[in-house]
Amino acid sequence: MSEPPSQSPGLQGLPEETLCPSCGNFVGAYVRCPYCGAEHRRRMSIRFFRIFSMVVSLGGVFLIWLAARGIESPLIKVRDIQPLNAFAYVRVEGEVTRSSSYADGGVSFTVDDGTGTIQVRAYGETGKEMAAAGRVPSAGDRVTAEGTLNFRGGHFTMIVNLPEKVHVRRVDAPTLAIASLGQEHIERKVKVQGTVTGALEFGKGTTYTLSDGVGTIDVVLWHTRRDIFGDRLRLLEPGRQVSVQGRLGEYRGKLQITLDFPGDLREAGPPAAPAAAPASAMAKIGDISRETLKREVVIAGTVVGLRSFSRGTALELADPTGKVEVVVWDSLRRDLPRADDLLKEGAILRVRGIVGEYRDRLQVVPKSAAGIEETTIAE
Amino acid sequence: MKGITHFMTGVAVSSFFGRAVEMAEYDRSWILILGGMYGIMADTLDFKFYAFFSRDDHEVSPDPLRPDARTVAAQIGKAIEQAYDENRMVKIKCHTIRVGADLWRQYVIKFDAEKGEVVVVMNPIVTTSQIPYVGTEPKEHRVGRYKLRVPLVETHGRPTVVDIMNGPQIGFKRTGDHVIVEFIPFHRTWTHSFFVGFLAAAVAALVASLGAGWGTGWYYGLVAMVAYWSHLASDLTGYMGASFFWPFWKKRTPGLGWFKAQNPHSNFIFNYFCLIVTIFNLNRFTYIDPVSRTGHYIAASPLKYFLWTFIIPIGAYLLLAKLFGRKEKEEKEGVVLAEQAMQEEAVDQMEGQFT
Amino acid sequence: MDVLGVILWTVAGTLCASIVSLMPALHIYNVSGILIILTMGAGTSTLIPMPYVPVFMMAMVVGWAILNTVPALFLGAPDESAIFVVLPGQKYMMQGRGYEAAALTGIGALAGILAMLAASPVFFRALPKLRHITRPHLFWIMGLIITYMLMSEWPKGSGRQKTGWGRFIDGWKNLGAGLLTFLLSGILGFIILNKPIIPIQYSFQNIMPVFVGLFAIPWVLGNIFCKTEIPPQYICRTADLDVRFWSRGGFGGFLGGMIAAFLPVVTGGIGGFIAGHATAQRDDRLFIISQGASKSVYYIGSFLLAFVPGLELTRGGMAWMLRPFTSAHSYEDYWRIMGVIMLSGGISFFLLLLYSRLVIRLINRINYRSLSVAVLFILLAVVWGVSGIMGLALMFVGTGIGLLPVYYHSRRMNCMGVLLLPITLNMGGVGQHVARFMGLV
Repeated sequence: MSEPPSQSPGLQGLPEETLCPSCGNFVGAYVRCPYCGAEHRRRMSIRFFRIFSMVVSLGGVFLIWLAARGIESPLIKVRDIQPLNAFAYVRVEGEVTRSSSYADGGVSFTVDDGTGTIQVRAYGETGKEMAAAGRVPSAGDRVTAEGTLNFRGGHFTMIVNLPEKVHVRRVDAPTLAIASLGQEHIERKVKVQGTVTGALEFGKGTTYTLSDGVGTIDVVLWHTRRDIFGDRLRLLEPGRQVSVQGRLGEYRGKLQITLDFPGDLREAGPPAAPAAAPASAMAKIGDISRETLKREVVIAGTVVGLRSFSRGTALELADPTGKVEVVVWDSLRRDLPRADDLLKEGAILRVRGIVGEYRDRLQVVPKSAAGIEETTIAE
Repeated sequence: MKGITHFMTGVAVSSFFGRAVEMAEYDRSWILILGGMYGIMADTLDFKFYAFFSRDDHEVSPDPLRPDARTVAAQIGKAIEQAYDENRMVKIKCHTIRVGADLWRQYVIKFDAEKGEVVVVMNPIVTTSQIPYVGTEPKEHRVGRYKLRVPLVETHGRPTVVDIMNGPQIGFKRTGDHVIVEFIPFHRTWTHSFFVGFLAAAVAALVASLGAGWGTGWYYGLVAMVAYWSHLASDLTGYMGASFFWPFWKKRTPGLGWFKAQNPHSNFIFNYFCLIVTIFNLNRFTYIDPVSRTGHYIAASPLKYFLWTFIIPIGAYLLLAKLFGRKEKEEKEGVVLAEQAMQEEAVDQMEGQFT
Repeated sequence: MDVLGVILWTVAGTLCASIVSLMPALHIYNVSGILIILTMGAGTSTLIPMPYVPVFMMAMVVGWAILNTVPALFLGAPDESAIFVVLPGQKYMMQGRGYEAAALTGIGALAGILAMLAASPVFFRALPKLRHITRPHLFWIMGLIITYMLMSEWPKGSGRQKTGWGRFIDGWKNLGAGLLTFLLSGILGFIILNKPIIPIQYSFQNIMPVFVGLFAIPWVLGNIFCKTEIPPQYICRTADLDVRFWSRGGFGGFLGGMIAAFLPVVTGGIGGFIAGHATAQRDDRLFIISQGASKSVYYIGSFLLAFVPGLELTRGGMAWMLRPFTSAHSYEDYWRIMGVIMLSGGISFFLLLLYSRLVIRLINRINYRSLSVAVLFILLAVVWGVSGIMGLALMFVGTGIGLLPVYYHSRRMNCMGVLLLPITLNMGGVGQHVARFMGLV
């Protein structure tokens, strides 16, 4: 009779689980003992946990997802917010007492629900989407916001991740004369009417000058907000009469209104005489130099070169006096009718834009689609 | 080169594409991930797809109840001789020995070209985490040798440890008057060719075009292709080489033999260089003022940058490695156990001769 | 701020952390968060003199970073950063060398601390620039880490099937399980970050139940059901390593820890894994030292970055919690906090050896399975206590996901998808679309 395998010299001292519980023979990976036919039940736990983990993970996530879809964020009063509520996902309702926007597209506003105030913030992309969807409230608006509570410096901030979680009920501010604006209006929503008399580019935006004949005020539009204004940007061309609503702020001692969303910019009358835009006189391309930097010019010429870059197209425009690069951002191109016909080599264009400089090269940057028109050589 | 080295090389080369970096910054594009993904793609195709379909001529499947190293050595040895006799590639699959739900019998295969023999050593049982149960090594037939009647060339450079999950495939091919041992012969064949790199990149371009239009999609393809090709270029620095010009030239082109694929120093230096290059390029295409696109955070000249970030630190690293580095080769635990067993066997034989 | 006060609060912080560290499932950030909320809720500290708050908190972090090896290694209840120490640690335990493994992680941690000290001038010069350069690119850099994590996993089928497709399906079981683990963790992360699953009175702990489920419970269950028998442990007087190993492991771990400290959401374990690959480490000792260093550098380094003059980088839970109470830091503050780290690191190392001895004595006396059952009940009680029934439900689902890599032989690291996926996609501007797609809006 041969000796059982478990007693063979090479297999002594093996872990218990490799031996058959019925006959003591070595069974290795076999589920059923090859010697006595007994089921090697130790496999059960492994098999059970494989099935268990699959069922619980798939089923559990599905059930939690189902449950989560139906969960409404609880409405919380600001005075009831406790430190242990940090990271809670809640909803607040109230009146906006202050609203700000940031250069990266982010927005923040302060909500007063009658029991206290809380700052609500949306970072970069979310802020941009909120602005595009008209969900950025101004001071005086009623708002419902849903987000995560962050505890900092003894007070809470709410972080909004989804634009849809902010609902704004607009409350229009009364129209005021520009000259009547003062310190008492700072951080409040104001509305003024006047004629656009000028525009000045700066690093992160454009400052438009608005005049109602008695007073003048700067209206700031950040580049990050520019895209969402689309066609309405035409209203900010020199000579247009507009009504502007926004938060009043102060920069270097000068009052300024920050324009946040398209609904706050409306036409208030027919355009004023073209004389209101002296900076836009027709220029020869050869006249463009560093002296004309940041000034608006109107030039005409033939497209002799075309280059695409990540956010737009650069045209090389030439007239008999020289060549200059014209930068057409994708956002502007989208608004330009017949863009493919206009932005091609051989096209003859009239371009109204601001003179800028990039890597020591001068360029003309149209600020709206209206700034690019097809023209003829005679003109 | 190791997987992460290919991955980082892919990222580094894709960072040279200024438009890709700007797309990432301004348009939140994930394009640079393609660099890493396609950098490692050739090996992914080999080990996660092609490996399963590589045909075996023979299978080594040792008996878990009575593991006998002599039988295994003989099976492998005969396959080597068959490759010589039939003048063709013979592939042998060395299966693992599963002895329990979480237990495996480890064995080590050594091709001793100098002595012209195949040596197989049965090691202790290990867990799936490769933890050995000391004392479970077979007491009989632990070491098996097969004396080959044909000359052998071994290029892998170290013994092969077979223990958990899926065992390796080993190929034997007659070249001239000897047989060459090719570890995992399915590796670095058609997948490591410029042509397949082009095709794989075309897929990326197609998918990207569906989402962003052809005007942008082709650029995704370009980045992917260069990253894929960077894998081939870095494999060229090793010994094994690859079928770079498949399907036009199917033979494997030998590598330049600069570094061993697993060499920790070359891998680390390569990875560090890729990191430094990636940061250099991100700096070039990332601006202090992103609107006017002016100004860079690192203003140093390329020479100064690479001197301070690469040449000096790596010089110091190499100096330290030279002064204090390990002189002898680092071996896997299984190989060390096998070497011990072989030494014990030799001692036993010597003692046998004197008694 | 006088030197005696600094020393006193450093010792106090370290001892406080040493108590927290021994309790499985409790995380230092949760405990210190409660402490901060309760004592500093009004904007000023009512317990610790305000200037010493960063000192005390740093000592807590250092103590935790070094001492949480004890429950991870000996009780099999790791957190998300200690998960990598457990596997080679258990290998050592099976060989009766658990004490040595614990010592090696501590030695690695000390190497990491010294590396941070040595790298301080580089922090001052390079990190502020690196931060600015990488800021707009963080989303895809984190995407790269996820991609590498998923692509670098190897198939583990038996290869015995007769057909190619059979082998393919078998080989892809673990790869598929890895992808599924990451995906399910990520979906769970999206849900808990976008919906108030946990009642708001427990909300400060909203992620803890999931983490306990993903990382700690599967280990404990494994110990219970696999009937792990731990052989008697030997208390060694010397460790199996030399200066070369120590410096190599420490260097690799330092790199990994700094990757994790610098990038959001990436933990010390993931950082150590990447650095381990990048430096081509193979030896178990190197791995344990490296993971010890990586874990420590991750916890300590992420808080230390808040003190680097001119960097203004907030990473890690502690830095976020203390940010409102601290202002920009000077070089003097930096070197003081570095001193705190070194003092606390030294004390913690000795405590690590002491606690390891105590736990080994416990293990040698009590059946390891019974101990694991006790740990399981502690975990359940803590989760129940701080997050209620919904916390237990989340933990249960987390456990299911955490068991997938255990029983399908994929990487446990994939469970980090719970934070990596939603936060990376949010940073890349895609998170909102995913949340909408999932109907969470």
